[in-house]
Amino acid sequence: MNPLTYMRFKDALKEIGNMGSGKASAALSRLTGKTVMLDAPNIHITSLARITRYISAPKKLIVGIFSPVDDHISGAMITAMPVESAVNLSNLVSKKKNKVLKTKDKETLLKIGQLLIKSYLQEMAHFLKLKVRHSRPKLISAFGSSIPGLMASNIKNKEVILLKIRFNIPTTEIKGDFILLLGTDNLDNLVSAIKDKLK
Amino acid sequence: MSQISLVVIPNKDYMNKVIRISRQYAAAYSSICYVNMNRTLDSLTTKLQYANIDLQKFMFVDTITRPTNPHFVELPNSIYLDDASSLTHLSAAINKTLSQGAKALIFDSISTLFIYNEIRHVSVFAQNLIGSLRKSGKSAIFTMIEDETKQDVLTGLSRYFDKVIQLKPTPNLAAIPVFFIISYLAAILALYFFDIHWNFYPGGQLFPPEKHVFEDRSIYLWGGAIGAFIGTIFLKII
Repeated sequence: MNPLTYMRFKDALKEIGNMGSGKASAALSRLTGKTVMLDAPNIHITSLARITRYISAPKKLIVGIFSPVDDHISGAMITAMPVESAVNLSNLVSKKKNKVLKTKDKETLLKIGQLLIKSYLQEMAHFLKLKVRHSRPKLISAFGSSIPGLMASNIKNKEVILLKIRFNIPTTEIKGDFILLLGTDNLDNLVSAIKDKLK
Repeated sequence: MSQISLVVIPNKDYMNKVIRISRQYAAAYSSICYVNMNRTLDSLTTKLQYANIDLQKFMFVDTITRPTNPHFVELPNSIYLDDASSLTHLSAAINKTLSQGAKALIFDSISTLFIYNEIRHVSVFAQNLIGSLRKSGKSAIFTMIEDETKQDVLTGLSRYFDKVIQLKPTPNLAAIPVFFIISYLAAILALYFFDIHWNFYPGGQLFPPEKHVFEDRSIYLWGGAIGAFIGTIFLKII
């Protein structure tokens, strides 16, 4: 890919990320009754070994709602939050004041995750006219630095496209990342879908 | 004799310290049960192998690989759980591994349990596990992640352990000479610009500069050294 095409591709992907996360944040906003703020999307095309540097809290424990993605594009999506944010989000939605994630809270977070991942991917798939499926999300807790490793098991090649968008809900101390990780074997499908859209 | 310790590890150095603990245990014991709750087993075993630690000595109880990778290849003598939240399942898996001949335990980490369980439940879990380790004369290290550790939790748990060790982050001394050189060069450059700045005014000659502020050139030596010292401290802080 020449540099100009690469820049255009990144810009287009940023826009698609914006649309997906916009839809997901609207869903989160409806669910919580609060405004959800989004940062500008970050796109990195890099090797799997180097993506830890783009993760927001590599040295902290995080809770993630994780789902593999496949069909026209394949990879994985995760909504990752620091532990306190996950507890706060669950409390906000279920109107509780728990200090830990109990079974019900895990179910609540999984439902939220399902909704966010579905909204994000649906918007992206609809816009690009691609078929994208995702599996039932799983709730995981891990070190932030191990997120790439978790997601990598669903990716075939060592070069990846990382699309990350930070979100936060002001006044609630809830913040996190929507992260979509795709193998670069998806580049052809994405580029041709974007080209079709721009025609 | 069984020695059961709780080690509080700074987040920054967590993985390095855990690898160091694993190396010490691998040198001391023929078989170790490793409870892995914070990264995929694949990633952990790669790091252990990279550190030349004999993997054959380890029996893993893993809570993270199964939910994230449906196609994972099971390691022999390892137990894979669906998640880290069930203390009952975790306890059963650890006891099974210990009964299969593990001589020691590395529990990485107890902080993860606090995501899903109340302090009192984790305390009971730790108390029972430590009780059974003592009965069978096995040694163990339980790790905690410093930033995720509240003082009251640490105080509550510490009574079950023989020793509580709070590790300090390893200072990155290798960076200091680099910071010093960068700061020294920056200080010299700043001094030079100040030294010749009169030549930037109309009528001044820049190449070569004809007017100098400093008559004594030794300022480059001691001024540079002071600048390097201040710059190194500044860079180290940020």
